[in-house]
Amino acid sequence: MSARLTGGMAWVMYPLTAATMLFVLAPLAVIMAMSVSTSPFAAFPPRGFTLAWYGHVLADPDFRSSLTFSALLAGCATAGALAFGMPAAFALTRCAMPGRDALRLILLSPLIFPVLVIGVALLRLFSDWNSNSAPLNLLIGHVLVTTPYVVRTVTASLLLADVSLEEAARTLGAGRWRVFRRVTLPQIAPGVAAGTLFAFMVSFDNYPISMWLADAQNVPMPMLIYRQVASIFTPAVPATSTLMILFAFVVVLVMERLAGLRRAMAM
Amino acid sequence: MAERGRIVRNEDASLVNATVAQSLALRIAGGRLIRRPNTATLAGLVLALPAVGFLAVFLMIPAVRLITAGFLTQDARGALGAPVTLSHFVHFFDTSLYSHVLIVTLRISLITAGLAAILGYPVAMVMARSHSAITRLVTFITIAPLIVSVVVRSYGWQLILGNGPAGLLNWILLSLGLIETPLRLLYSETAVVIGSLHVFLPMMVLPLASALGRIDPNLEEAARTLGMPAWRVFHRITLPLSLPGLAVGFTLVFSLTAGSFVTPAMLGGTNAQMLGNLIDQQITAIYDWPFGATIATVLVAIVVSVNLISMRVLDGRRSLR
Amino acid sequence: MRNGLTRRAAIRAGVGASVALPLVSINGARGATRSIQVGIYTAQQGEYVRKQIIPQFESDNDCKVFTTEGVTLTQIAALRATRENPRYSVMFMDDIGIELSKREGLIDPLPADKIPNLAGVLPRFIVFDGYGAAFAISTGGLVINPQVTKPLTTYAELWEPRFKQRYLMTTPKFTQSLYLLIAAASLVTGKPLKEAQYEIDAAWPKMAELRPNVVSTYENPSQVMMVAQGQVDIAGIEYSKNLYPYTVQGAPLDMCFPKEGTFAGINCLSFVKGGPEPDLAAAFINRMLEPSVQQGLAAATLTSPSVKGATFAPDIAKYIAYPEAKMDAMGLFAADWAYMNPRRPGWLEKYNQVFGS
Repeated sequence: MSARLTGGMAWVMYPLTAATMLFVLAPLAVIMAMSVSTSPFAAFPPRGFTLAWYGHVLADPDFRSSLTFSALLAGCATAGALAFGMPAAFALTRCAMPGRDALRLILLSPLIFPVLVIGVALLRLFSDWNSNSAPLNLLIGHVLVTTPYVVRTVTASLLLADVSLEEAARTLGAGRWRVFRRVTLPQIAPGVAAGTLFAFMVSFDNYPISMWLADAQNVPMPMLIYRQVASIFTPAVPATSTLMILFAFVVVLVMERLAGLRRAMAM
Repeated sequence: MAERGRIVRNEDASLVNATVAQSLALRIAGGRLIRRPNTATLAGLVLALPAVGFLAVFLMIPAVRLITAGFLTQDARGALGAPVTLSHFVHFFDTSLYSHVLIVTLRISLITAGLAAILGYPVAMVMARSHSAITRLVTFITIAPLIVSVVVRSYGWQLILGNGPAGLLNWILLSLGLIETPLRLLYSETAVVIGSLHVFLPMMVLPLASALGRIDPNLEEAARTLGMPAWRVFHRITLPLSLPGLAVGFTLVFSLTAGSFVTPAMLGGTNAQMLGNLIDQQITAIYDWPFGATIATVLVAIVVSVNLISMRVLDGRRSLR
Repeated sequence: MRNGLTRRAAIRAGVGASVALPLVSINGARGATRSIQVGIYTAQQGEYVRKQIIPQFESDNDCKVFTTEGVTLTQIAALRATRENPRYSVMFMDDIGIELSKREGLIDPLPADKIPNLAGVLPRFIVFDGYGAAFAISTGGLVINPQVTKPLTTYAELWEPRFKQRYLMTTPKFTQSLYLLIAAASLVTGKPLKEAQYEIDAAWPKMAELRPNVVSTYENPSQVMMVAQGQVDIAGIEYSKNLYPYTVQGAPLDMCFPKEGTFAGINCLSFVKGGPEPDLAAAFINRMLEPSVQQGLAAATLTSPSVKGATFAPDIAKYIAYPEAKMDAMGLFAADWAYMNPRRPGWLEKYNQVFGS
């Protein structure tokens, strides 16, 4: 479905990409190096070599519960973002209605507003409504900030999809839902996949919203890490971050299987 | 303005035409429900309603409250109310400190978004058009930083960009003999650009890759068969067709960089204060809600403008197809 | 294609269903016993409260104590945001926060009749007409690497050219930035800190002279590691409770307290206005002021207790400003927050102007 990268373009693109990948990996490599240091506080270059800190982190119940909670929260937030975002993207691109620009702005507004401010505003709102369930509040906050990503990527995909195929299918007698499933969805799969990945990662890493809405029982990972960094910066912190990188690898693999990332982008 | 109106009407016209043609075809095909333009509007409203409703309640209301706060006065108890005043905005634009921070924010955000486009394009090309193993690897490396706390990431950059021979980059360059004296990168706008670029690169790469993945390879094949050199094919066919993805990425990176405060604080220090830092100060340290709201409103205005311009570019692209 | 779509549908259903699970479990847990929400500090102190003090309190009173960690500023912001429907019952905050919260009507005076241990608190640590009682005190000074820099005898040394681009300043967001202003005012006017704090305007030219020495500002206490790693020579003004844990672990870091005085970081307990379960809240505050709890907390976190009669082994005592005689000898100084708080916005702006690019 997509062209291969060959010839002259490949000679240019691959080296440039490799250089950029090095740029992306550089601070991560530094962090990973710090995690094996034997010294009781994180230092670079690391002194000695030990994997003890990883054992320390993995044995820590706070870490395990935080990781589980963040993953669950991100998963639910992503589901919510897809549920809200995909129909909205359709409304933006496929339906002729007045006020589309306004609609677009509204749908993207969580990206436009400083996240810090959104966090405090939500805290105020939930307090006024007496909504005390931190998981629910966090979920709402996270769906709020992740939906625009889904809207953006799915919209971009919809704009590039071939409308005439859909029309042809409908002319041939296919129902609306069938047209969506068999004609539209495969075409926008890259956008949906990108949006899903985005939403999950953004939710997982979100600090500005979580810091206002979380409580002691429900601590997302970024808050745990922030708390550890503020406390005393032992190699356990870089070890936690390295474990997160491994987790990211798993997420990408899972996304690939489920959402066909590879199929959608590399076919 | 008129031009924009025309584009909108063209879109509507083409959709209406399609719908009319289609309903004719359907009638001919044997009598199904006839769709009229009104149905499209209704359908749009229904589809968008959940999202809009959700956002209206949880964002729009607090947002409106925030923006109006910039025009109110705060008393000693922290309550907002009359008199309505422009003094906060006047103060913002009158004091050179804030205009300076505004310009710095714009500059850093635009440069970061631009660099993200340049660096991100090859990565997106590779991601969209390589063998599955390479795609998987590139995807993973690109998004892995997203999951590492921004505080820890920035700390890594502090160690790399450290001024003096102890900084990793300086150490490498000095050892290789590429420079004589250590570079002063940390605590500068450059460092903030580097750090922000690192944080937000995936926001450019992913939309761009999905846009590239959708381009019909037959178009490029045809052009090459007809004798167009590879570079020209890229310039005349691939690049224009990927523009929606590029626009999405650019505005995303711009918006996010403009509102950030952790990276500027850790990597820019006092030399690269951005609007996000000021808002953070106002909300957490001072709780001058009206002035914090003023700064937030200015930030929002900038980001909205950039987003509107990008939408116009996208609309322009669509009508040309 | 069909497989992919059903998979997608299955994922969505599964994820959607799992939304219900955490909500159900949380609601179930909350329904049973009495509970209060307490805002505590971060870092080691917060951890000690969570892991050592609270479990005992919970079992003694058959209740649950939920905590959120934060610094004074975020805690006050949370109080302000939840003013209409207070969620917290007890809030830990610095004395500067007590003044603010009292003025804004966010807290009530501590109910002395329900907190007998208040009698054991040193009088100087009951602040702002009984709206706050200290439970831990740290000392504020400058951070140095003792192997590289000799302890400063006067704050004036901070301005010396040898620290050019080698001084990491605390962010103007934090209270410590006000301490620096007071120190500068003291240097300019020649008056002691107690009087100099009313003459901050005189300090700004002196602060401008400090600009060449400042390499940047920092917010996260872990940045003091830059001093240990040699990237900067001096940092601050920082609290001992953030620094000494590193010293104890063997990092080449130490505090120095110049002769002008030692700034007091007074961590206080406050009673939230209209907070749930006021009796339980009072009992918790009482527990925090219990002599045995005070002793344990101080030794574990290397801060001073606020009550009379605590004793410490020499290797811990050297880090703590206790007893009162030692506090006076160190020149422990708490600022007049009622004067300073309203002037902060203007000073923050000046800070940004002086030290910005």
